Amino acid sequence: MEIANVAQVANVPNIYYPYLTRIVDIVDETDDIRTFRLQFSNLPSGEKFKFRAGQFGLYSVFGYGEAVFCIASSPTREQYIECSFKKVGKVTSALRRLEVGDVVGFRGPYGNYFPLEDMVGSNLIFIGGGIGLAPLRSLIDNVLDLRSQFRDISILYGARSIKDLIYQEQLCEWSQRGDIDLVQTVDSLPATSTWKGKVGLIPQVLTTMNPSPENSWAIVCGPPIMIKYSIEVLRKLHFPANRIVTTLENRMKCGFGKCGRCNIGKTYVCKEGPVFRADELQNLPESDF
Amino acid sequence: MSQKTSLLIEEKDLRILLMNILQKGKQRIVAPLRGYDGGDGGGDDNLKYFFREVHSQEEIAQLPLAQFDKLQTHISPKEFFFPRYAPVLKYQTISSTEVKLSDVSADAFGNVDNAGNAKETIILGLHPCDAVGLSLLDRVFTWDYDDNFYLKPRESTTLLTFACSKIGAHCFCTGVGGAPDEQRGSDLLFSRMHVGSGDGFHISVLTPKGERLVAEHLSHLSSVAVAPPTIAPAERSVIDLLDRKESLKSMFDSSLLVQQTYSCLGCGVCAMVCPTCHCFDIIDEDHPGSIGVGERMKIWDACSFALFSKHGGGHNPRDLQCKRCRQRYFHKLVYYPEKFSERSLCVGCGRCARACPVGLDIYSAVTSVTSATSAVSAAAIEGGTNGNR
Repeated sequence: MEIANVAQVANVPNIYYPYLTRIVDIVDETDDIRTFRLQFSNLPSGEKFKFRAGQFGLYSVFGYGEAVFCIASSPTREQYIECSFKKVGKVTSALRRLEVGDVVGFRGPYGNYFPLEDMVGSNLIFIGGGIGLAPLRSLIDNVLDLRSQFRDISILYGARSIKDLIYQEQLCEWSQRGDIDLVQTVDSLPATSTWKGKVGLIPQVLTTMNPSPENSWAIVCGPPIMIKYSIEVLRKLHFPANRIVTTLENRMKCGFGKCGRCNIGKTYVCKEGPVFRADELQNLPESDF
Repeated sequence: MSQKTSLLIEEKDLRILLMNILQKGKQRIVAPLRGYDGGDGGGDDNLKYFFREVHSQEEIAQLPLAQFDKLQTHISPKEFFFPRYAPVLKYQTISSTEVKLSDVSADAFGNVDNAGNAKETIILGLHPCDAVGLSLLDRVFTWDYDDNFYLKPRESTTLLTFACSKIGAHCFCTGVGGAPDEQRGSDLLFSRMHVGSGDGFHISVLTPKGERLVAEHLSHLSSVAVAPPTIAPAERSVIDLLDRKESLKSMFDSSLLVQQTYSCLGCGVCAMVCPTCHCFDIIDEDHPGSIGVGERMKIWDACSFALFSKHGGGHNPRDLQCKRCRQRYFHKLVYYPEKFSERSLCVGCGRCARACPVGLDIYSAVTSVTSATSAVSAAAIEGGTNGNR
């Protein structure tokens, strides 16, 4: 367990004390999903913010509160972190009102991370749904920055409709690279669309893609129902459960195992997760999801 | 923990000692004091007592020392380390591009000053279950991340526990591995007995903190080779919940558990009075009339609240009240014990049973569910009619 940097205040470490970051870029991904690029503005000189792909943090607007999102950028891109959030409540609405140059509080990184070292030398298939591409993007960019250490990389990404696809600019870049197999799908399509991708639910498209489980890892993130059925397909395709990883989300307040709300059975998503292997998921009680 | 020293003190000398401590002013004294909320306690005398700082010699003169082995406070002493509502930092938004943060003193009760220096505190009159409860909370608040808002006052507080000579109507400490004279978590353990010409206490000195307090204030007493008095056995026969753990685990999806918790209102009082419930929320509180200037607060929360685990996207993993009750019972008896290799997070103080407006409590729910001879194990939770409150 790597412990997040904890602010030293008045000689007493205060685990609730956030870093201050500044928004340096804003991208509107969809009508209600926005991405911030944040730079740390109060790191002690010489100190670098470090994290691993898969970890999360608590982002705050002072006076409105904190909200949990994953870190959506790669740890190899050290000058900033990025987060993507959907406007659903008080904090995300307050975040949406901010502009470039404004201050955002950040605590973290928290939680475990994707087993990057174990994946070296393997084929990777990323399966993302909706805003679930955000945590995958951290790992995707991470492995792309270390491209030679991995074998074939496939990305299957889907959303309800074309306008719900996030990171479109990046999807475009990925599609132009010769060393990635990118498949995009949408659940449904208007009749007049010029869409060149697939139409269908992710588990169905995954079945037709028929990826080989040989020396492969599958990394899945999206809505719970999509994760569930995608793992079922992967198991049918003979992916071993311990080579399927996913990242879960539950309501969280503290991020470090104290506030008591993110557990599924005895497992704390904030500490033992958010990244879980499919064999670990099998041990979590289904009626507690 | 080995018992290091035994002392005997008469009740009147204990009172004089407390008066001296108060007069010297080095340590604050916290003890069960009457009538904080002004109510009549619903006819139950014990409900009138809350742990509060003792400020005057008159208050010490009135402390019911002879009752400390019997009376239970309404709320456990956890709030001195984990206040119901306390700031963790101050923020000042000067403009959207400029925010200043500053630290706050480490707790709401003034145990620690702004420089982080501990103010010594004595908590007097808690019961062994409360002291055990604090040692269980220690595990949570030091789990990889040290929460100094809890730890600083904890380090500077000495616990003077009173062994129980009477088992309360709702108590079941012996059913969760405890005992009315358990030593764990206490610095000094007082057991009521006849001393000299009148009532008094046997004091077991259990920790270095206890030794320091004795050296500072009780050096005139000489150590005695007297064992603490045997505490009378429980007046009510208590079923051992620890023996029921495996049975309870097998009832995770049982309709019996659902039925048993139909009546839960989700009011959360069980968590508020519990010595080991530690769920909290973190919220920003702007100062009145200000926007973006205020304090970030840690505030008690409860797993029985319907919105506790609700996602921003609308999904709620614990969407039914019975699931929220299950979470509470399992956290106490299964999750926490497995995670921290402890016997139980429930210490059997019985406060939840006494406070519950519908007469639900963990002891009767768990004993009743696990007593059923034929487990009706259906996917009953989904079919529960308890409603999504």
